[in-house]
Amino acid sequence: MNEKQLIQACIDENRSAQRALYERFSAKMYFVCLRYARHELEAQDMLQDGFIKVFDNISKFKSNGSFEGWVRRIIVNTSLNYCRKSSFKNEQIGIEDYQDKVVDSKAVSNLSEQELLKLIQQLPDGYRMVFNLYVIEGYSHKEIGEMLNTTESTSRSQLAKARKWMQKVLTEQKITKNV
Amino acid sequence: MSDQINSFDEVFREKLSEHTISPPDFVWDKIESKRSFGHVVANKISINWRTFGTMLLLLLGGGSSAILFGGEEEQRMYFETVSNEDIETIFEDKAQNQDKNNLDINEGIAPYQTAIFNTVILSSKSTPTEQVHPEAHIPDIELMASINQAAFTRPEITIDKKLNILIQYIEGWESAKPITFNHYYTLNKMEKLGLIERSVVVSPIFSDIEYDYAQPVTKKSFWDRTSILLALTPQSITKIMSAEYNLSSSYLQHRKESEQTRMAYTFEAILHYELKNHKFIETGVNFTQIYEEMKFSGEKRFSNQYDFVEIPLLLGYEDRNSKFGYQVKGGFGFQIFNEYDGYIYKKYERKEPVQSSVERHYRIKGNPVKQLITRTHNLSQNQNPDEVLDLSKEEENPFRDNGVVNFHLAAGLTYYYSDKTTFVVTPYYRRNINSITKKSALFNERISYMGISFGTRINF
Repeated sequence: MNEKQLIQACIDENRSAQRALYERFSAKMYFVCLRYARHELEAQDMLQDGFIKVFDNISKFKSNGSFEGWVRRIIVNTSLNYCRKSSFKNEQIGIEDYQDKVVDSKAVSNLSEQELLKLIQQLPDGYRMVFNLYVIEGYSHKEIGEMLNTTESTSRSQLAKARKWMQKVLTEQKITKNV
Repeated sequence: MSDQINSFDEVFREKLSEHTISPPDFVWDKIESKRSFGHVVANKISINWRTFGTMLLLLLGGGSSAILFGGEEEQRMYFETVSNEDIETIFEDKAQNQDKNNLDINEGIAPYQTAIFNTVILSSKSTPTEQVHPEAHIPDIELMASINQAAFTRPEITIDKKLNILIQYIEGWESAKPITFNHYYTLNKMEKLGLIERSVVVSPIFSDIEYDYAQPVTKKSFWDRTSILLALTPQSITKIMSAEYNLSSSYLQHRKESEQTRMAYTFEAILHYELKNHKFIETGVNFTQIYEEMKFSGEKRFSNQYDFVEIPLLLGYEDRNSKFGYQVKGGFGFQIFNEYDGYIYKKYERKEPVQSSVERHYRIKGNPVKQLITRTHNLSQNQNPDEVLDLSKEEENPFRDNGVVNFHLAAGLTYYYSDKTTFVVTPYYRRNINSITKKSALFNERISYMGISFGTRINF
């Protein structure tokens, strides 16, 4: 069954097609949720709500774009809304002392995917959203401003603070160097 | 340093953008259980609301027509069978009852219950048998005159033209309620058609009834059944907003914080038509106005006005005693015309408020009544037009200009002031079934109204 047929079967509420579609995308989307969530339980709730939205709105999908991109966007938006509902705060962390230090990317590249994920999950909610959207999803600051209903400059500063926050954590783990 | 930042980001992007982790199996089970039959049906209805709404209205309309026209036909049939001869025979039969004391009621009176059904029976201390000759074949004119007199000199037993019930209670004569004969007539008719067996039909206990006075009832015309209801409903409104899959909910949160309803009311001009058995239908025009205050760029300004014109179709039930009564009604309405004036927030980024020494504009300033009825909804000098959507411009307005279906539910009290006038006080609930936003809008919005309707119903 190709993607188009699978989508049509899902529109017709065919349970086995929905299961197949879930199997096709769930692993990738679960990792997206994990990046936005603070822990696994939260990510599971995000994934669940996201896929319910996918199945509810699948008839609205216009086949001129990538279906995976469409699903991903729903999952990302669901995750953002979930973060905001639970406890969105623009946390101010004491990071000013680390302004002159830059994390060595080689040191970071030695970290495994799980370790990087853990690092992201430890970020405060506001930083985590902007970091994920900009660095991994590839949205521009203007787009992030629209998505989070904030300004472009706020998005920039949140990203800078997110990097600094990571730098602080990594320094504490002795993987930074002075420049 | 910039290169270092880029390579730092690149590590994350490369390692995490395509990484996968399988979720636990129970997540699918939860999805499956949450998307139950009811959920899927509700979702289908919300997607295909037009089709479902039309079907429901057709069903409601069709049902009402069937009751309306079917009922009249049935009643006409009853009246065709009533004649002076029938009425006379009742009295004749009563006289025979007095003489014999022991008449087989099932055999003797059954053919006349149609006449009894259409006859108002009133109690009196006098004995009609003294006035009616057992062998008389022509109605006694004096007797009929006294019947009329008795009927209209008994204030505690009123003829209720509005509710199609002639007598609710006759003291000590439970079995003389018209409804008894109505049931008996129906059963008898069914028996004649072979639908039920004779033994099932239980006749009213005629031996307990004294037919002292009787008065034939005239059929109510269309205009007798029709009245016009004029009502005003001040109400509070609640906006239920939800983001489409591609909109963040923070925008809606922001709108919720920035908009505050200052006044909402509905004026109704409704045609009320009585059906059989206390039921009624109502249709007409509802005009709703909502005024809301909007706060942005640090300013409060009374700027939004929504006007809706709706055609409701309601089915209801009403009952009352001599003066007070109650009614319950429900149904659907179609908004045929929506107009919007004012501004709501744009989805896009918000600029910092302009600091200015200019005095801020608040709504209640000067003459509040004049402010309330003003139709100008302009921005002030301090407010930035780029951060709002102008609702009066078709290309910016995210709301529909028609095609919204509403659900109505109301239950309240009536006061029967006179034959021509009834006052109605009804708590009223109304809610948009489908979203008031256009299909292209990034969010859905439904309005629910809760208010108390104060109305007067005037008979033609």
